[in-house]
Amino acid sequence: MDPTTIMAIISSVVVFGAWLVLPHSSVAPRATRVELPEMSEPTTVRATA
Amino acid sequence: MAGMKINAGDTAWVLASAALVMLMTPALGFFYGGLVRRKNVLSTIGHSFFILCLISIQWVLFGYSLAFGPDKFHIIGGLEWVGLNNVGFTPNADYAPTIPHQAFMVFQMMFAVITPALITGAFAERKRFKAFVIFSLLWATFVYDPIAHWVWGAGGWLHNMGALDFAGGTVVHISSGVSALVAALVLGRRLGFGKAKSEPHDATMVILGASLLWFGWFGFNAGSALSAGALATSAFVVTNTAAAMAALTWLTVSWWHKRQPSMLGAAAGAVAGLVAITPASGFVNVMGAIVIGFGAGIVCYLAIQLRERIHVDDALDVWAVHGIGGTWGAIATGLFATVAINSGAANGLFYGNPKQVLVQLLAVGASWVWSIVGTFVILKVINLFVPLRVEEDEEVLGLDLSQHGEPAYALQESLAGRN
Repeated sequence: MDPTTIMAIISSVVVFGAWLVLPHSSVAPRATRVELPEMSEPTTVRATA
Repeated sequence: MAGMKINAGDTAWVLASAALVMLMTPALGFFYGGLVRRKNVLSTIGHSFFILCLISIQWVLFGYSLAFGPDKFHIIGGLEWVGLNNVGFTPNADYAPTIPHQAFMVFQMMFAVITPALITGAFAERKRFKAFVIFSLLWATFVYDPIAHWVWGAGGWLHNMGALDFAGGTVVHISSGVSALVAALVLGRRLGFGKAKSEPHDATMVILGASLLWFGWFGFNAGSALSAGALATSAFVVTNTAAAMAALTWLTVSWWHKRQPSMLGAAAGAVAGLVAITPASGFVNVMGAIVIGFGAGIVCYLAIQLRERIHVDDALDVWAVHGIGGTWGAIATGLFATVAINSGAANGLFYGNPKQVLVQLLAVGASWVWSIVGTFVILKVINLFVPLRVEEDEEVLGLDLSQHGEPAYALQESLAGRN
């Protein structure tokens, strides 16, 4: 196996392997709470014959 | 002229590639436009669009002649091809023997267009439009055209030394990335830099821009084969591979460093991978592309950390992605190049030819030095006549309104009662 292939395999293993140990999730430091606007009165839809 | 017959397939591929590369410039505008604040988005996109127009004219008038015209002292092309004189439909044996000379010319035009557009990310949100216009024209003429001749022009001194640059690692990315750093230093930081974080105003636009850049890059690299065949196919495959690997690597590094996988980081990583594979795309195999992409994701990410630490306001990290990514790619070409891919080139270090690394380092060094000196002189000369920066109140207002009198988003203005 030539050195380039060995390096490519190592690189891929490092990247893919890192995903196993990286955190699942964390508190989002930049997350912003979205204020939902108040719901308006539901529109009445009248059925027509 | 014997043996030079126009090949329809090659011509179709190169013309289609020219169109792909053309798309990269507005794509770059969207990539950059999403990264700036809302008040500067039109100005930022407009920089790329304007340069597309400006350099299209500069190139046919004299730019192509300076870059690719008959060699003068191994430094610059002559003026024999000014106004496309002698640049017709007969193939040119020095550059592309199977396509019309004008097809090669227009393909190269799109490279000349996008290169100064790349620099605009460094001085985004603060450069006066008039100064930007003059800078772009002078920079294309005195920095881009000479470097293009050194590396790609028949008789250019780096070309003669055997420097390998398939699609523009030195000519496009080092020149623009290093010049971006100089421009950021000369113009100074934006108001409020370091006090409040300047968040991208539209991350979706950034991803869209990066995706379109990726798409156009197939023309950039695979088109540089100048023929529709095995070499173009190889360049296409390694381009995609390096972009993907760099995106994965950048995302992973950011995940480890900031505890969250950054989607904007993945987009920036893809661009870094595309930059790094550019000089190597016609010389390395797919395993080499993986290593180059991996390296690009790491070194470009680290370059951004360094840039932040020394408080340089290269607004959209052109130096880190293009300057450092291009430098890594040019050196990596000297490591991983193999004649198994391109029999007309040379082997790199890992295929038994350590000398190629030295040649690549020389090309990198020359590109850095010329870009630093040329950009610094051009900016200082322009500043004698036209202030480089907008006034403070104009910067606060935003360049869309202060420079162009046009808001990017009419809805926003309308809601604010201003329209």
